[in-house]
Amino acid sequence: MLEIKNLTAGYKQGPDIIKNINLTLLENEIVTIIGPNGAGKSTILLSIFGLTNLRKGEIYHGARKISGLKTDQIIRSGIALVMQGRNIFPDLTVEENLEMGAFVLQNKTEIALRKEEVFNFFPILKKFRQKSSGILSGGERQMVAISMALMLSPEVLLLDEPSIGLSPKIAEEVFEKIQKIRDSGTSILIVEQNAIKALEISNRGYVLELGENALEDKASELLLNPKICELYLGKS
Amino acid sequence: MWDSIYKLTLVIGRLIFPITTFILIMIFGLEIFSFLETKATIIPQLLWNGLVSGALIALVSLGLTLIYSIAGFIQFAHGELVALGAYSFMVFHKWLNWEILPASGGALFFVILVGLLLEKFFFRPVSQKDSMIPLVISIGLSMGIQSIILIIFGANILTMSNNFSKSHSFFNNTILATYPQILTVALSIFLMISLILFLKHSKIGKSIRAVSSNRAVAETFGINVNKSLQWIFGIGALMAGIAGICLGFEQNLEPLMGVHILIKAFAAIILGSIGSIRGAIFGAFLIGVSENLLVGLGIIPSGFSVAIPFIILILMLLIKPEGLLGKRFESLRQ
Repeated sequence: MLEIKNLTAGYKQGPDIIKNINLTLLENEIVTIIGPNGAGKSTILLSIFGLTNLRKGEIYHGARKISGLKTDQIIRSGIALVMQGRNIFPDLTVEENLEMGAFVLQNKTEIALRKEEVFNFFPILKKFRQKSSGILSGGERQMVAISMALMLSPEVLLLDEPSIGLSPKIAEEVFEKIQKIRDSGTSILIVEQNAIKALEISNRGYVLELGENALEDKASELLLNPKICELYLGKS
Repeated sequence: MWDSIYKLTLVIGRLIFPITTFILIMIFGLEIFSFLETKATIIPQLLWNGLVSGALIALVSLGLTLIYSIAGFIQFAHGELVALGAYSFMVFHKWLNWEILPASGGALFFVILVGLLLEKFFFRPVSQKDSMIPLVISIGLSMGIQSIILIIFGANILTMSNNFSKSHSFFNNTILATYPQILTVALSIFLMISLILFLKHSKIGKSIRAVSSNRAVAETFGINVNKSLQWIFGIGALMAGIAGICLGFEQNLEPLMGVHILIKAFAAIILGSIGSIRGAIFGAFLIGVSENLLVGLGIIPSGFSVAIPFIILILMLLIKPEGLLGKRFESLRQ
């Protein structure tokens, strides 16, 4: 579904943040990237989206090469990104946020249809439809952020720290929704600090160290790997 | 015990402003009333002048606040677009003898072109940098354009008045108004309403608000930030150009006319709440009307009228920097 080959990237004229990254995401799969702060996890997601300076390597979506394309073309190819930190448009209403999520789509009836589907998926957002999204709680904001990406009915969904700053209960809900999204046929790539929780719902996981691939394994194996547990999962 | 005293002080604190205002009105009310009575005949005229001046300021302040909310800096060369509008209209209308409508069209085309070129060649290359850099560039551009106007047209005051700008009296001679003034107010209100509707309901308008609200997220959904910038500079230039043409009829043309109205517009957006559309309109009319009333009623000598926007600016920045309509810096770019 999504394949990253030997990717090296950084920001503007700065140093390489990620080096020789190899990563594959298969159909109907949840894959989690874990690693310490500053390992370049978010940079991988931004690179897929063409928002960094790609220096080496290629990215394929299916058979199509997407590295070097513009962001809006990458979105049209069926990839959506949910940025870190519950990033939404706080000055717009919830409904307008969703419309902006579908900015690259032209067909108005399709947008209206998607909007209803998304509201049915997150029924809690229905009552805030016409309200400014600046008043929402953290969990609700994260749901709006994910909804904006779902407006595109993406084949691949990239999630950057979906549970950061959320209470455990709300984070649980978000992870449940992520599983539902996978079940409806979307492949998901997650970057997550809350690694245990993310690995529990994942099929496979990648460990990143100083911008390079350190390890790749089944999620269930990673959860049992004593070294990983000690270094990244915070349990001994 | 202490708790109730604390609560009492809170209540007193909240009431102290209305109570003092009430007492002051009781003491000076009669005097103020009799003072206003002696001036009653000129008040409608002053209000009308304030409305015209507010409408002109609003046309400039809207562009200024829009550019601020998207690009994150005060575009000080925005006033020069007003001057260019006035001068180019004069060239088309008086020197080339075009009719008013085609001359306005030509002037607006020219001003929009200048606005877009400024954006493309001066502001876009530095749009990723610290907002101090475009700010300083805009100050430089402002001086540069002033100098160009000075070189071409000279420092002499030029006038555009003709039959069209003669005064007519309305409402039993209480108000003297010219057709350009009426046109100014009508056009300004029409443009304000269209701008608000455009931002609220059109796809491009919504995407402009989205970019202003959170630029990084806008990029990840394929919203073209540069295109929003172009739209904003184009709309800003259009309104500034219209303000320039109207201002040309209202007063004389001089190379510094852009700076003078820019300062009022700047004060207006600080007063209303920077980055807010409603704030820019509200602030503009408040400044226009208060300036005309204060000077017209003789409360402030007319020589000091230039200082009024500055005084408002300083007071606002000291007392309520987020503006009268602002929730604390909420609508600013993140």
